[in-house]
Amino acid sequence: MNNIRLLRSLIPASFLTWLAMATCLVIATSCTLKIVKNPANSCKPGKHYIGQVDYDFEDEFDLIPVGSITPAYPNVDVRAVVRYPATAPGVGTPIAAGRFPLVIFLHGNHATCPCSCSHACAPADRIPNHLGYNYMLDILASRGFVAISIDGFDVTCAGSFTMSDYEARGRLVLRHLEKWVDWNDNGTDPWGGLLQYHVDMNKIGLSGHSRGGEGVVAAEYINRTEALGFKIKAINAIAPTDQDPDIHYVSEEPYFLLLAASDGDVYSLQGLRTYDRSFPITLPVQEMKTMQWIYGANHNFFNTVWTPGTGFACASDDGVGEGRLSPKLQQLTACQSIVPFFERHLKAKASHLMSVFKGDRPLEGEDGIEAYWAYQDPNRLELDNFEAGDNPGSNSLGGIVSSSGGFLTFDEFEFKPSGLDRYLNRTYRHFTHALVLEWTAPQFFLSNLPVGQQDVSQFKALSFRSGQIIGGATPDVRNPLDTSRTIRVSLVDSANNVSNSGFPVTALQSIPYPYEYNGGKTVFTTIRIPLRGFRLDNAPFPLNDVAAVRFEVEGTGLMAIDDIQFTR
Amino acid sequence: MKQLIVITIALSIGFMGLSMNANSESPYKQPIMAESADVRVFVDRPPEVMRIHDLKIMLDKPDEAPPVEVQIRVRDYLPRSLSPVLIIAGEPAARKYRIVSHEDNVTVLGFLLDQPQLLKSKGDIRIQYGDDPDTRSRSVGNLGMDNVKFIFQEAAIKAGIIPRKVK
Repeated sequence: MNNIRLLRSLIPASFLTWLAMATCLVIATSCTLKIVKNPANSCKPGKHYIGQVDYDFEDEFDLIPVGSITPAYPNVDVRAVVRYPATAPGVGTPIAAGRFPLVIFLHGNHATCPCSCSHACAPADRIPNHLGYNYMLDILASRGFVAISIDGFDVTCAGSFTMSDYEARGRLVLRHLEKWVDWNDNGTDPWGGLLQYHVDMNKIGLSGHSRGGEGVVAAEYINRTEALGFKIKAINAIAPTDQDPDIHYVSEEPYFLLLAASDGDVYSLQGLRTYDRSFPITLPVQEMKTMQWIYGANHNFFNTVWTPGTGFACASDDGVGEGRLSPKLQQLTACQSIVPFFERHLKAKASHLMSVFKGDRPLEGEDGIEAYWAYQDPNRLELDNFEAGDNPGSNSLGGIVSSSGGFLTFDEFEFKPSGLDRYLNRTYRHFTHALVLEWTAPQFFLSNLPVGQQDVSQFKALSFRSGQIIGGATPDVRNPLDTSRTIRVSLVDSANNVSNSGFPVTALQSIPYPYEYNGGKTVFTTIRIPLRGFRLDNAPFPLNDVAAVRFEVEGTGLMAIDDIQFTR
Repeated sequence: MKQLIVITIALSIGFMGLSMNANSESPYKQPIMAESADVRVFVDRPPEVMRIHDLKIMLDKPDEAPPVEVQIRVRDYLPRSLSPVLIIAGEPAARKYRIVSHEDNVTVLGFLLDQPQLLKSKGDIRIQYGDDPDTRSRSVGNLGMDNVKFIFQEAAIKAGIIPRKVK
C-alpha cells in the first residue's frame, strides 16, 4: 500500500469532508459544496418482524424453446426461500397487515454439486446457491417487502444450443411469478393462503447476480415482448455478465447496476456495458439508470454461499488487489444501495433516496470505502452524448464545439470491445462513444447551445460522465498516481458573460483515479453540478440564456468525457 | 552461523515461493484444462452415406453448410460466471455452447460453430473463459474434416440438441 493510500485509509471520511468544505470556503467565493447531511442507512432493520417460508417443487416443468417439442432444460425445479413482513418472527408466522411489493433475487453460475457441474448429487449435497442473499431478504422483509431468492439449480451449470441459459434463467423467474400471481389471487400457496392478498403484484422488483443479472434482464425482456403482463417495475444487476447471445438490455424500467472493481471472476468488467446500453436518447421510454462502482469489492462476497467462512464447498475469494473489503463490509455496500433502489421504485419512498443514487449523500458504515456513482435522469437535455459520428467540432444539439487549440488529443473515440476507431486502452470496459482530452498545459473547450435551445431553466443540474485514463505506463505521468482530477465548469450567456466562479470539482465530486489492480479498471463517474450555484456577480445566472458550457483543465491530464447533459 | 544464515535464506525463499503460489493459484486465473476435441457434423442425410467429398461440397455453399459442433473434454471444469468460449486460430468462433455431459471430474462442453466453413481452416482449437485470455487452454488439436463424426440432423433436432434452423 502506498503512503498516500495508507494515510487516506487512516483519516475518517468525515474529516476529509470537513477539510474539503474548509478548502472550498477559502478558494472559491461561491463554492457550492453542500453541507453533508446525516448518512443514509438502508440496512437498518425496519419495523416488521421477519417471517420465513420456502417452497420446493422438484421437476416442475420443462423449458421448451419456441417452435420445438423437445425440452432444452427438462424437469426444472421451482424452489425458493421467502422472507416477508410478519406479526411475529419465525417460520410461517402471520403476515403483517398491508400489501407488500415483491422482490426476487436470482443467483448466477456456480457449482451445483460440491465443486462440480454435476446435477446428480443427492438433494442434501446440492450447493444452495440461492441462500446466499438471505442477508438482503431479511432487511427487505423487515422494511415491508416480500423478498424471495430463487434456486436456479437446473439452469445453472447448464447450456443449450436451442435456448441460452440466460433465456432459461429469465423464463424460470417468470415461472415463479406465475405461481405468485396465483397464490396471491387465489390463496393456493403451499402455506394455506398465508400470503393471499398481501403481495402487491403491481410492484415487482428483480435483482440478479452475475449471470443472474442477465437472467433478470432477460425476464423483463420476455415479459415485455411476449406481453405476459407481470408488473416488473425495477431491475438490479449485481456484478453481471454480458454474454447473452441475444443481447437483452433494460429499456423501459429503472436500472441499477452494482459493480465490483476487484471482481476476479467477471474479470473483464463486461457487465459495465449494460449500463451504457440502457436508455439511449433514441428509446421512446426513458427511466432513470444508476451505477455504483466499488473499489476493493469482489464477485463472490455478494453471495454468502460463495464466500469462504460462510459458504459451501468451493467457496472462494476471487478478489484481486489491495484495499479489499471484508465480506461483511461488501454485503453492507450491496444492502446500502439495493434496498433504497427498491424502496424508491417499488414504494415511492422518500425522495431523499435519490440523493444516494446521485452520490450526494454518504452511506452509514461506508467511511473509507471508495465508491463512485453514475446516474442518468430520464428528464434531460443532452448537450453532447458524442454518439452521432466522429465529430468533436459539434455537439448533439448541433452547436459548435471549439477548443483552446493546445490539447494534445481532442477527439472522439469508441469505447467498445470491438469495432473501428476504438480508443485502445486496457482500462476501459464501456460501450459508448466519448471525447478524449489530453493536455500538458491549461486548456479549455466550449460547447455551444444553438439559438432557440438556450433556455435550461427547467433543469436542476449540469452533469457529465468522466474518467481518468491510465495510459501505457502505470502510473501515467499525465495523471498523477492516486489523485482525483478537477474540471472547472462555467456557463456563458449570449452576451458572453461567464458565470463568475465556475466549479472546482471537490473531494465530494471528483474524477477518481482509476482502480489500479485487477488489470486496471476505469469507469465513468457522473459529476453533477447544481445550476443554482452558477452566478454572475452574485446574481443568479440567467438560466434561460445559456449560450455555452465551458470546460477548463489545468496541469496535465488524460481523460475521457461523455454524456454532457442538463438534467433534473 | 553460516548454516543458520543459509537455512534462514532458504526458508525465506520458500515462503516467498508459497506467497507467489498463493496468487498464481487463484482458480480464476488458471488455464482451462482441456484434454481433447471431437467434431460432429449434423447432416441432412443418413450419416453412413456421407463422404468427406460431400462435406466439402456442402461447406462450399453457405446455405447448405451443416451445423458443426466442436466438443471438448475438460478436466476439473470450474463453473463460473464467464462462459466457456471456443477459440479457433486465436479468435472466438462460437456464440452458443452447451454442457454435453459431466462425469467424475470430466466435463464435456459443446460449441456450435458460428461459421461451419471454419471446419476447412485447420485452425488450432482452444477454449477460454469469456474474454479472459489468461484462462486460455492449451491447443487440443486442429479443426479439419478428416476425423469428423456425422450425426443425422433430424435425430439431433428431435433430441433437442440443435434448433430446426441454426441462426
